[in-house]
Amino acid sequence: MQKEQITDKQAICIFIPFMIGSTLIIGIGGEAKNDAWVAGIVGAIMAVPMLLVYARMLSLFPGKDLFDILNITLGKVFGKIVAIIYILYAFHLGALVLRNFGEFINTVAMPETPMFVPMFCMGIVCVIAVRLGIEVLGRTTTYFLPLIFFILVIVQLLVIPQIHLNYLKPILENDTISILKGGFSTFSFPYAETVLFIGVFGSLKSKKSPIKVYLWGTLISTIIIIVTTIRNIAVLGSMIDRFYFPSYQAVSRINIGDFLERIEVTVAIVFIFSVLIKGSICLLVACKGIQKVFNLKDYRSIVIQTGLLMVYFAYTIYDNSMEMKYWAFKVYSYYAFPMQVILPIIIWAVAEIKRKINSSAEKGEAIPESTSR
Amino acid sequence: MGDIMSKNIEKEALDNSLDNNIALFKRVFKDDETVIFREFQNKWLKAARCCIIYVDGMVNTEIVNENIIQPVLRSDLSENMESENLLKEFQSKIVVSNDVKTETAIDAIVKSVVYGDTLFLLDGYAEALVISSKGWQSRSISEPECAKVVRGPREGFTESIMVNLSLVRRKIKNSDLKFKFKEIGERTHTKTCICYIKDLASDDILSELERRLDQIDIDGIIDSGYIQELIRDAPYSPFETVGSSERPDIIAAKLLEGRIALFVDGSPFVLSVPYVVVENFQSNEDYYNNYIFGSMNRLIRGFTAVTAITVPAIFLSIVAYHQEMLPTPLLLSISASRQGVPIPTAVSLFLMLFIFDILREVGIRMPAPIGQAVNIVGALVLGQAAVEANLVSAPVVIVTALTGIMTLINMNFLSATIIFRNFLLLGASVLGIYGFFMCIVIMYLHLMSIRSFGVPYMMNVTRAKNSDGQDAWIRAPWWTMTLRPKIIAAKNLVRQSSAKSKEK
Amino acid sequence: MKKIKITFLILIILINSILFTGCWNYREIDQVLIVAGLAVDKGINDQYKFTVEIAQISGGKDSKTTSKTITAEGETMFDAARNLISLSGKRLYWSHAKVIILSRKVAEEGVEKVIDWYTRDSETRENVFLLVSEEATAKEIFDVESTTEGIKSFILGEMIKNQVSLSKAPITDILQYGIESKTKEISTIIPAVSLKKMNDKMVAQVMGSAIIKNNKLAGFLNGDETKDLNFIRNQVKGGVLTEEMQTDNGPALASLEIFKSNTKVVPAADGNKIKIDLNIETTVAIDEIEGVENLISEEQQLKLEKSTENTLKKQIQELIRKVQSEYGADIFGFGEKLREDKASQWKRVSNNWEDVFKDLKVNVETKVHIKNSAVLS
Repeated sequence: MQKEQITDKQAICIFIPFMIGSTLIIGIGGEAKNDAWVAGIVGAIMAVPMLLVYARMLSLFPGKDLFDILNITLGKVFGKIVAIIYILYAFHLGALVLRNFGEFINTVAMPETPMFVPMFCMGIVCVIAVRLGIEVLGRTTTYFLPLIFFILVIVQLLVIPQIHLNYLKPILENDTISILKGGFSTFSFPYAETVLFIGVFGSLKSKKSPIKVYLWGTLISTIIIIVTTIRNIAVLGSMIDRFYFPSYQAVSRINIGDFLERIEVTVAIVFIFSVLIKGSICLLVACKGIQKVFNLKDYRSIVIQTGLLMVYFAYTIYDNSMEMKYWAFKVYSYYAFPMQVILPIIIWAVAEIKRKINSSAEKGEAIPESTSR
Repeated sequence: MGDIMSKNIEKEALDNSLDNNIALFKRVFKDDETVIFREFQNKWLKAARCCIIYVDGMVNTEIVNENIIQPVLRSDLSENMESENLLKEFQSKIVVSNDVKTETAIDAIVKSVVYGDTLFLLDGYAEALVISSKGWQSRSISEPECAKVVRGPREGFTESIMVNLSLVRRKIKNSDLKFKFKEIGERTHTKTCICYIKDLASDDILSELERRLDQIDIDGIIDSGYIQELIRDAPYSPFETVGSSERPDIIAAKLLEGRIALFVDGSPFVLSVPYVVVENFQSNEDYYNNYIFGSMNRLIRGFTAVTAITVPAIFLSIVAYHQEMLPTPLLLSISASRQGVPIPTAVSLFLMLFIFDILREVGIRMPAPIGQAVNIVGALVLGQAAVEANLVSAPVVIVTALTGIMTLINMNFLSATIIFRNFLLLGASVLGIYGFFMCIVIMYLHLMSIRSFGVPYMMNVTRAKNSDGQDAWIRAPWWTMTLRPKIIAAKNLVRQSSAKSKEK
Repeated sequence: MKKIKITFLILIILINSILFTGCWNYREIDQVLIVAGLAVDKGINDQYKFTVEIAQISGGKDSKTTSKTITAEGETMFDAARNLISLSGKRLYWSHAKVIILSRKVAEEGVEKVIDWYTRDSETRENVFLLVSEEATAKEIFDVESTTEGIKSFILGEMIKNQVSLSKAPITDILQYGIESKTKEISTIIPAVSLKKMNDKMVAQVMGSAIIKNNKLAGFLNGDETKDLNFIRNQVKGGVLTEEMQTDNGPALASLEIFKSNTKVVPAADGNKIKIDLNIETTVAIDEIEGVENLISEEQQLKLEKSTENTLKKQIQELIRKVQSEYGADIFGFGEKLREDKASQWKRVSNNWEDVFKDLKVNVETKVHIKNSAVLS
């Protein structure tokens, strides 16, 4: 089969919904209250070096994905162990995303519908998307992203009458620690989650600059996240940390001439789409990982199984939405730290050293192809 | 070629005796009384005993009488004839015809005869002349009923492939326009013709099309629809991936865009590949009218295609799941209209849409005068009575009517519209607007995954870039459409030479 | 072929299992009762007494919407809300409710208790208006005749919304109340509704405001006081200022229509002492002049502006004094402003803000600008 490829633009288009996915649902920087947007900026700044590391790894091994890189740098046995860690991480993250979505629907829109149903339906859509492959996903995203931007901008404009900018004041009221904590939680969710893209961007068409994709994607999604956060604070004021889903609540305030009101469901479309992308990417990476570790021919043969397992895992992962909020803001950052920071830095360091050795030994020849696959 | 007749006659061969040959063909055409055997002899040359065999109704009798029988009977064959190869002499000196071949293979001869040629047998020769004398009644060129235009050429394809080819040839007078014949169908031996412009059409697509045509193994082709379905991509998809048109101007325009046309004998519908989604919304009139008007009409078509699929589902999800989205007065009035209606909105929507499809089908099947009456009874009486009898609520009828009308604008899209409309309706009835949107995403994932002969089906839909989007949602003015569609005409993109500088 | 069969089988099972286990949240509009408004009283045994106004729709050709009230009791708000089903038969649908009317007694016991359910539930919406009934019960408001045809709650909602051109009652919905009451020691206001006799019938009137201090009702302000209050809170978008002018022919009244008003609250710290500067700038137009006197000339205009400014200033100062001494409740949002602009000062005084507020020095500056005199000169 021909190798699937995506263009830089498509990659950015996948990147943005991935970042804003569940972030838009449950908001960021809970600890920093009305300074959450500062925390968001802090998180973005903290994330940039890590993103550069991820991009560097990709450009060191053009055309290779995360699991190939692990194989090359850490060797067969150790590489496989780390690969399994990443598979579990992708799998877990996908389940968390699905669960966020399920909680959202269950709490906000359809309390009587068993949570399993929307999650299952979403899981099926993810499975279909992953089976069709990254290329189709990329093209679909380029189609939907303008729609998403359009909805976001329109909603942003419509909500202006409800905005009280004075709710943002006093800026930096909360102490530095809580802002840093909020920043750290923003760093790990969503910014550093893009570590999973190492598993996808092996299919980038132009092998030159994953850095460009990473930085542009981050820039645009940061703008969206920050603007949304500011809007939420300016609309909900001190109530913001009482709502599980602040964006939804903020948009529900829209009321234009008594006719255009209660339109928050349209925003749910943005949620659905970005959750779909995030879930699909997680599922894709998990499946690709399993394929590489067990030397399967095609990852498509295990998508349905993995996807269904993911749905079931998501179903059993939390007891209730209180636990979800606690996990997302308090525990997750520490849980994800090894996968997001420690392991990538180790792999990167090993890769750089190997490259040095190789280039001095073989006079600039690239990493030997034979070690992969 | 695995010929069905060959089983009996492949062992047979022509021999030198005319009587044996006639007996042979009498055996081949046994029980077929339309085959005429006419024996005759020249009065000056007694050796010239001949027989012609043809199928009554397939030949032009004037040609047979005046150009074959008359010269043989009336000319003095004893003079100036070399008797060594009399048949050759007949072919070159006697028979008045534009196309005469010498043939020995029985199956080829039989095929020609049943296709309207006349077989000429001469005593003493194990060869036969096949004289072209095709002449049968066919429909004259007229404007197609289902693709009428206000502005534009008024001719349409007919059932005769040669006429159809001539219609296109007349539009593109260029030696680069190539025609390649191919016979498909073991029993029908249907003639098909691949037509393309050599320096525009992509070689990959051409060879792919030929490969797919070669793979067809079917006993008969009655209409191009058979082939359309046999060679298409994404066979399970309700979206058409092979285009078809009844109008020579459309086919000529597609050829000029670098597409490849496939003519099938006996069908006025000519196929074109590759076919992308925007072609569903392109009408030939867009190009003949003012570009603003054309663009507007095309936007309307695109918009109605989208709404015809989505409106029932959106309506259902709002009134059954997200009533909070309705403005209060509207909520009250919808609620009032539903008082006492026993059937759930979802079910009544399915039902009404189904009834509308029945009415549509009836409208097509019925003879035109009755069709009108059925429509009035169906649409007016049924709708009105259903509301008054509290079987369905008025908004449901309105939504159904709106959807129905919008569905009919894009007839190419009919199957896809109906299938996906019900699919979305199903999604909406399970999970409200969330289910609806998930189904939309699935639909788009599906659309994005389709390719027609290697060309992405959704090509140019999302592009706003100058040269890509100019013929998708809108129809740009002619002077700006300097390039042909990408990928399809990758060989030679420049349509207007003013773009040459741009291309580089 | 077998594969297709299996796929179809799975599809059919899936679709059936989804369709026939019930579309859980699927609800037809006619299966629910649309709640228009809610009145909360205290019933016997300290239970909540819930009165909902329901939009009753009669179908058919000439469909009409009338209102009906249902009353039920319950231990908690939600309990009472669900108990309503046993009386109505159908489920209640809350998304289109416009007002919540609290009785005096309920408001005195605590507003937060009442609205928590309403904010927490997903079907109810946070843009419902809060009202406090000045009458004995809240239920009464729904029982009286209404001035126009239709559902009383919707009319009450309109009354509150159109306060933008009257400014004699605040506009407070639940979310706003939640935001304002969340800051400790800051009080807030809710519009008050009362009954008024008109043509021998009692009708509801939204006028004035209820002061909510620490989530409990502390007292009422009348309409004019509320207007002044709105000036301080910078929530005046319209309304009328009347001014009596002394002329040669005796006093003449002039009505000024407010077009724009902007209030700047500047907290200033003078050492340990906090003081507030209040700058009110209002643009008005002369809309009515009683009497023959020409008030249009420039000189007269200046005079009119001056005297309006003075009256306004006096009224506002009076209001501040009254609130400070009688209620000690910071309904002006001075504390919030202090927190926003001078966070350090706020931290210092936030624990005894009530005491600080009582002796807070407020410096009021008013500026009135007349922009035109409507269509007459």
